Amino acid sequence: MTSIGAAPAIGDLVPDFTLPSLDGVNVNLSDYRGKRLAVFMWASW
Amino acid sequence: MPVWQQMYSDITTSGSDILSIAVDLQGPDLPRPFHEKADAEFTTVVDAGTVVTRTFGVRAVPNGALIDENGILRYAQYGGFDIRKPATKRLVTNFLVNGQVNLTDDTPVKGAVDVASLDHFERGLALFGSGDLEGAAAIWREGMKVEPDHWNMRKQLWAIEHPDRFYNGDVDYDWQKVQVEEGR
Repeated sequence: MTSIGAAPAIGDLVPDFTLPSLDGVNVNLSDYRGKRLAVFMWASW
Repeated sequence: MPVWQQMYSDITTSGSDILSIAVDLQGPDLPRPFHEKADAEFTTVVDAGTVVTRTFGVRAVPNGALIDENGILRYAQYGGFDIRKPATKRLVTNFLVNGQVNLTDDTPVKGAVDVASLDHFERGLALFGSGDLEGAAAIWREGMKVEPDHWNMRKQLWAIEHPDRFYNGDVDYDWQKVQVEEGR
Protein backbone atom coordinates (compact mmCIF):
# COMPACT_ATOMS: atom_id res chain seq x y z
CA MET A 1 0.00 0.00 0.00
CA THR A 2 1.38 3.38 -0.97
CA SER A 3 0.68 6.26 1.35
CA ILE A 4 0.24 9.63 -0.29
CA GLY A 5 1.67 12.46 1.76
CA ALA A 6 -0.43 15.48 2.53
CA ALA A 7 -0.41 17.95 -0.32
CA PRO A 8 1.19 21.33 0.40
CA ALA A 9 -1.48 23.83 1.36
CA ILE A 10 -1.45 27.41 0.18
CA GLY A 11 1.40 29.06 2.09
CA ASP A 12 3.42 25.85 2.44
CA LEU A 13 6.84 25.16 0.97
CA VAL A 14 6.51 22.90 -2.07
CA PRO A 15 8.83 19.89 -1.61
CA ASP A 16 11.69 19.82 -4.10
CA PHE A 17 11.62 17.24 -6.88
CA THR A 18 13.72 16.27 -9.88
CA LEU A 19 12.34 15.31 -13.28
CA PRO A 20 14.00 14.84 -16.68
CA SER A 21 13.37 17.37 -19.44
CA LEU A 22 12.39 16.26 -22.94
CA ASP A 23 16.13 16.28 -23.67
CA GLY A 24 16.88 14.06 -20.70
CA VAL A 25 18.45 16.80 -18.55
CA ASN A 26 17.49 16.61 -14.88
CA VAL A 27 15.56 19.67 -13.71
CA ASN A 28 14.95 20.45 -10.03
CA LEU A 29 12.07 22.53 -8.81
CA SER A 30 14.63 24.31 -6.63
CA ASP A 31 16.43 25.47 -9.80
CA TYR A 32 13.64 28.06 -10.02
CA ARG A 33 14.16 29.44 -6.52
CA GLY A 34 14.33 33.22 -6.69
CA LYS A 35 11.76 33.37 -9.49
CA ARG A 36 7.98 33.41 -9.56
CA LEU A 37 6.98 30.19 -11.25
CA ALA A 38 3.79 29.04 -12.95
CA VAL A 39 3.68 25.25 -13.13
CA PHE A 40 1.19 23.42 -15.28
CA MET A 41 0.72 19.67 -15.29
CA TRP A 42 -0.86 18.04 -18.29
CA ALA A 43 -1.07 14.84 -20.28
CA SER A 44 -1.15 14.15 -23.97
CA TRP A 45 -3.58 11.26 -23.56
CA MET B 1 0.53 24.96 -24.96
CA PRO B 2 0.40 27.83 -27.50
CA VAL B 3 -1.23 30.09 -24.90
CA TRP B 4 1.58 29.31 -22.46
CA GLN B 5 4.20 30.10 -25.08
CA GLN B 6 2.47 33.40 -25.86
CA MET B 7 2.48 34.20 -22.17
CA TYR B 8 6.12 33.20 -21.89
CA SER B 9 7.24 35.46 -24.71
CA ASP B 10 4.99 38.36 -23.63
CA ILE B 11 5.34 38.56 -19.89
CA THR B 12 7.97 36.40 -18.30
CA THR B 13 11.05 38.32 -17.22
CA SER B 14 14.26 37.44 -15.44
CA GLY B 15 12.10 37.26 -12.31
CA SER B 16 9.54 34.76 -13.51
CA ASP B 17 9.30 31.52 -15.45
CA ILE B 18 6.98 28.75 -16.62
CA LEU B 19 7.47 25.02 -16.07
CA SER B 20 5.46 22.44 -17.97
CA ILE B 21 5.16 18.96 -16.46
CA ALA B 22 3.91 16.27 -18.83
CA VAL B 23 2.52 13.32 -16.93
CA ASP B 24 3.12 10.35 -19.17
CA LEU B 25 4.02 6.86 -18.05
CA GLN B 26 5.56 6.18 -21.44
CA GLY B 27 8.17 8.91 -21.24
CA PRO B 28 8.96 11.92 -23.44
CA ASP B 29 7.92 10.67 -26.89
CA LEU B 30 4.19 11.42 -26.59
CA PRO B 31 4.45 14.92 -25.04
CA ARG B 32 7.38 16.07 -27.20
CA PRO B 33 5.30 16.91 -30.32
CA PHE B 34 3.01 19.18 -28.28
CA HIS B 35 6.01 21.10 -26.94
CA GLU B 36 7.66 21.36 -30.34
CA LYS B 37 4.50 22.33 -32.23
CA ALA B 38 4.05 25.31 -29.90
CA ASP B 39 7.72 26.31 -30.34
CA ALA B 40 7.77 26.35 -26.56
CA GLU B 41 10.80 28.13 -25.11
CA PHE B 42 10.07 27.17 -21.52
CA THR B 43 11.07 23.79 -20.12
CA THR B 44 8.87 20.70 -20.27
CA VAL B 45 9.79 17.90 -17.90
CA VAL B 46 8.26 14.43 -17.94
CA ASP B 47 6.82 12.58 -14.98
CA ALA B 48 6.73 8.90 -15.91
CA GLY B 49 6.17 7.93 -12.31
CA THR B 50 4.47 9.40 -9.28
CA VAL B 51 6.37 12.64 -8.63
CA VAL B 52 3.37 14.86 -9.35
CA THR B 53 1.11 12.67 -7.26
CA ARG B 54 3.50 12.61 -4.32
CA THR B 55 4.46 16.28 -4.48
CA PHE B 56 1.04 17.82 -4.95
CA GLY B 57 -1.21 15.05 -3.62
CA VAL B 58 -3.20 14.92 -6.86
CA ARG B 59 -4.23 12.03 -9.01
CA ALA B 60 -5.45 13.63 -12.21
CA VAL B 61 -4.46 16.37 -14.63
CA PRO B 62 -4.63 19.16 -15.78
CA ASN B 63 -3.40 21.07 -12.74
CA GLY B 64 -1.78 24.41 -12.14
CA ALA B 65 0.33 25.78 -9.31
CA LEU B 66 1.83 29.20 -8.65
CA ILE B 67 5.04 29.09 -6.60
CA ASP B 68 6.77 32.22 -5.35
CA GLU B 69 10.46 33.18 -5.17
CA ASN B 70 10.88 31.30 -1.89
CA GLY B 71 9.31 28.08 -3.11
CA ILE B 72 6.01 28.76 -1.34
CA LEU B 73 2.75 27.58 -2.92
CA ARG B 74 0.60 30.65 -3.53
CA TYR B 75 -2.22 29.12 -5.56
CA ALA B 76 -3.19 25.71 -6.88
CA GLN B 77 -5.96 24.30 -8.96
CA TYR B 78 -6.10 20.53 -9.15
CA GLY B 79 -8.24 19.28 -12.00
CA GLY B 80 -9.70 21.33 -14.81
CA PHE B 81 -6.87 23.87 -14.90
CA ASP B 82 -7.13 25.67 -18.24
CA ILE B 83 -5.02 28.70 -19.11
CA ARG B 84 -7.48 29.55 -21.91
CA LYS B 85 -10.08 30.52 -19.29
CA PRO B 86 -9.96 34.31 -18.86
CA ALA B 87 -10.00 34.22 -15.04
CA THR B 88 -7.17 31.69 -14.97
CA LYS B 89 -5.10 33.58 -17.51
CA ARG B 90 -5.58 36.83 -15.59
CA LEU B 91 -4.56 35.18 -12.34
CA VAL B 92 -1.40 33.62 -13.76
CA THR B 93 -0.45 36.80 -15.60
CA ASN B 94 -0.81 38.93 -12.48
CA PHE B 95 1.29 36.52 -10.50
CA LEU B 96 4.10 36.33 -13.05
CA VAL B 97 4.17 40.09 -13.57
CA ASN B 98 3.83 41.43 -10.03
CA GLY B 99 3.65 38.45 -7.68
CA GLN B 100 0.07 39.12 -6.67
CA VAL B 101 -2.57 36.41 -6.36
CA ASN B 102 -5.91 38.13 -6.81
CA LEU B 103 -8.73 35.67 -6.32
CA THR B 104 -12.05 36.82 -7.70
CA ASP B 105 -15.46 35.22 -7.66
CA ASP B 106 -14.79 33.49 -10.95
CA THR B 107 -11.31 32.20 -10.04
CA PRO B 108 -11.34 28.41 -10.07
CA VAL B 109 -9.97 27.14 -6.77
CA LYS B 110 -11.25 23.60 -7.03
CA GLY B 111 -8.97 21.22 -5.23
CA ALA B 112 -6.87 23.96 -3.67
CA VAL B 113 -7.55 22.43 -0.28
CA ASP B 114 -7.57 18.71 -0.82
CA VAL B 115 -6.91 17.58 2.74
CA ALA B 116 -10.41 16.32 3.46
CA SER B 117 -10.49 13.92 0.54
CA LEU B 118 -6.93 12.75 1.24
CA ASP B 119 -8.10 11.92 4.73
CA HIS B 120 -11.05 9.90 3.42
CA PHE B 121 -8.88 8.12 0.90
CA GLU B 122 -6.26 7.09 3.44
CA ARG B 123 -8.76 6.03 6.12
CA GLY B 124 -10.52 3.91 3.51
CA LEU B 125 -7.22 2.39 2.41
CA ALA B 126 -6.44 1.40 6.01
CA LEU B 127 -9.79 -0.40 6.34
CA PHE B 128 -9.39 -1.94 2.90
CA GLY B 129 -5.98 -3.25 3.91
CA SER B 130 -7.40 -4.86 7.03
CA GLY B 131 -10.09 -6.61 4.99
CA ASP B 132 -13.03 -4.39 6.02
CA LEU B 133 -14.34 -3.77 2.51
CA GLU B 134 -17.73 -2.47 3.63
CA GLY B 135 -16.13 -0.02 6.01
CA ALA B 136 -13.74 1.16 3.31
CA ALA B 137 -16.58 1.60 0.82
CA ALA B 138 -18.60 3.64 3.31
CA ILE B 139 -15.73 6.05 3.91
CA TRP B 140 -14.94 6.36 0.21
CA ARG B 141 -18.59 7.10 -0.53
CA GLU B 142 -18.36 9.99 1.92
CA GLY B 143 -15.06 11.05 0.34
CA MET B 144 -16.61 11.16 -3.12
CA LYS B 145 -19.06 13.78 -1.87
CA VAL B 146 -16.09 15.92 -0.82
CA GLU B 147 -14.03 15.33 -3.95
CA PRO B 148 -16.00 13.86 -6.87
CA ASP B 149 -12.95 13.99 -9.13
CA HIS B 150 -10.81 11.76 -6.94
CA TRP B 151 -10.43 9.04 -9.53
CA ASN B 152 -8.35 6.63 -7.47
CA MET B 153 -10.97 6.67 -4.75
CA ARG B 154 -13.82 6.34 -7.22
CA LYS B 155 -12.22 3.36 -8.91
CA GLN B 156 -11.46 1.66 -5.60
CA LEU B 157 -15.09 2.10 -4.66
CA TRP B 158 -16.30 0.72 -7.97
CA ALA B 159 -13.98 -2.25 -7.59
CA ILE B 160 -15.59 -3.12 -4.26
CA GLU B 161 -19.14 -2.58 -5.43
CA HIS B 162 -18.72 -4.15 -8.86
CA PRO B 163 -15.85 -6.65 -8.63
CA ASP B 164 -17.05 -8.40 -11.78
CA ARG B 165 -16.10 -5.29 -13.78
CA PHE B 166 -12.53 -5.35 -12.50
CA TYR B 167 -11.43 -8.84 -11.65
CA ASN B 168 -12.98 -11.01 -14.37
CA GLY B 169 -10.18 -10.84 -16.89
CA ASP B 170 -9.73 -7.37 -18.34
CA VAL B 171 -10.83 -4.20 -16.59
CA ASP B 172 -14.11 -3.11 -18.18
CA TYR B 173 -13.33 0.44 -19.30
CA ASP B 174 -16.52 0.73 -21.37
CA TRP B 175 -18.51 0.10 -18.20
CA GLN B 176 -16.53 2.83 -16.40
CA LYS B 177 -17.31 5.26 -19.19
CA VAL B 178 -21.02 4.56 -18.82
CA GLN B 179 -20.77 5.12 -15.06
CA VAL B 180 -19.18 8.51 -15.62
CA GLU B 181 -21.74 9.50 -18.24
CA GLU B 182 -24.56 8.55 -15.89
CA GLY B 183 -22.98 10.45 -13.02
CA ARG B 184 -22.25 7.50 -10.74
